[in-house]
Amino acid sequence: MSRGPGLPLLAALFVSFASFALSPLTSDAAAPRLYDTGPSQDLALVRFVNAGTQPLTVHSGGADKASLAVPPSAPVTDYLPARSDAPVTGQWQLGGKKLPISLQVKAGGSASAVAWPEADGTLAGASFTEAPAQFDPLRASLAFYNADARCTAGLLAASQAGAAIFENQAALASARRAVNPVKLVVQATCNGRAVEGTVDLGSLQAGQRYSVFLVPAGKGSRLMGLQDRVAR
Amino acid sequence: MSLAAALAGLSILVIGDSHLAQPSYLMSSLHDELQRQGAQVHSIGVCGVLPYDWTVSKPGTCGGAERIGNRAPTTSSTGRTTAVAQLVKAEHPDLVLVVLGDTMAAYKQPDFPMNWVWQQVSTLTGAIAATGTRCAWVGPAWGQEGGKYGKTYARAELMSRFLATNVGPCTYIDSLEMSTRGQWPTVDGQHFSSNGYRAWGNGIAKAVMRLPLPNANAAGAARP
Repeated sequence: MSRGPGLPLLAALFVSFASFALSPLTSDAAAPRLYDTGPSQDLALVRFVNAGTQPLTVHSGGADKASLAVPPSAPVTDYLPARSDAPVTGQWQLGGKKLPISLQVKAGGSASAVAWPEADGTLAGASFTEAPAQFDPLRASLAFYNADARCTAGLLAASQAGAAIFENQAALASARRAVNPVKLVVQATCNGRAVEGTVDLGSLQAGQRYSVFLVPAGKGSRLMGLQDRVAR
Repeated sequence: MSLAAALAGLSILVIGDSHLAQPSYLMSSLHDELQRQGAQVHSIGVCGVLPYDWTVSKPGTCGGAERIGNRAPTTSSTGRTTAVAQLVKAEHPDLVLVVLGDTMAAYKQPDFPMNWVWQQVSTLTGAIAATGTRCAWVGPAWGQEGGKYGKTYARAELMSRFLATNVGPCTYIDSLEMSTRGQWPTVDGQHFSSNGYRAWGNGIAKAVMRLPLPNANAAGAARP
């Protein structure tokens, strides 16, 4: 018995809902009969981020060769259900160039795979995995992913007040924390030098998750931000 | 406008889980109270179902009930969901009222399955939002700790708080505010005795009357 939504394109290759099947129900004389509440274990979630300016495609490592387009116009996919009992595998592709993906995500955890074309046309990328998040009904949750290997000390700050939200974020690492549910525009620095541009996250809502990615952009870096969404 | 006419002319579709799947549960108390307030109500409950199940047609496993207007409820040993988009297309309700929470709470699991609940809830709210219909989501009540479902107040509160911040664009109706912990007697920790369902049904109906719904009589007059 499946207890989950129908799987979107790529996730169908990454996850088996057999792992979420529940035990056979037992009958009980009193109505209603007994049923299970919730799954035996939580979902793992994976999303894909196109940090470049050309359309990228993600190909599953599964046998049925499913693929997912990640265009620059919609550069961050919704979170997709993924298996937690084995590595999630696949590859990024741009023309004839490929970049392998291999993620190990815990049940209840999540991962973000980021890729972009280098100046020579090859593909480069970074991957981030997160432990199961804590839910805070009174605050929003904000993650900062530093995908630029040259940025050994990343800082993300609120533009309005200049207050640091994340400091000394190591390259190719991420962090997540609770923030107050207020209107938020963020800016960043790398190794003390300002990153061009800001990201307007709008009015943060308590209980919702948000993400900001710092990604390579030519000789500098740029920011990408969004409210996290899960595939429906 | 008198309170008794608060919902006059409005059409309300109520969908949910086991709390609506027996004639003596919310299928009576909530349905009757909404009808008394002037609404035309269609209630469908299928035991043990999840939000996603209301985006497809799917048989239940432990019973179901359905009731339209002032007719008596019909029951079945399994029940079957109908995709909410299909129901809305056929009935054009002014409000979809979702009663779901306990089936997702994983009371016997040590960890709250937040990713899974997030996807379940998003799937149904997205399906309802796509129809353009107003919606409200009724979260779990306190119940009583223990019982065969292993209900705990802490998990019921976490489930409720998560729903409160994640059911948008539906309006959240917080059942925890309608009683104190354990106040309403249950038969198994999760399902209430008739007095409990009467109190819960009345509480939900009062919350519905406070929703920003279209002018009731105008809505009724506009419907063919």
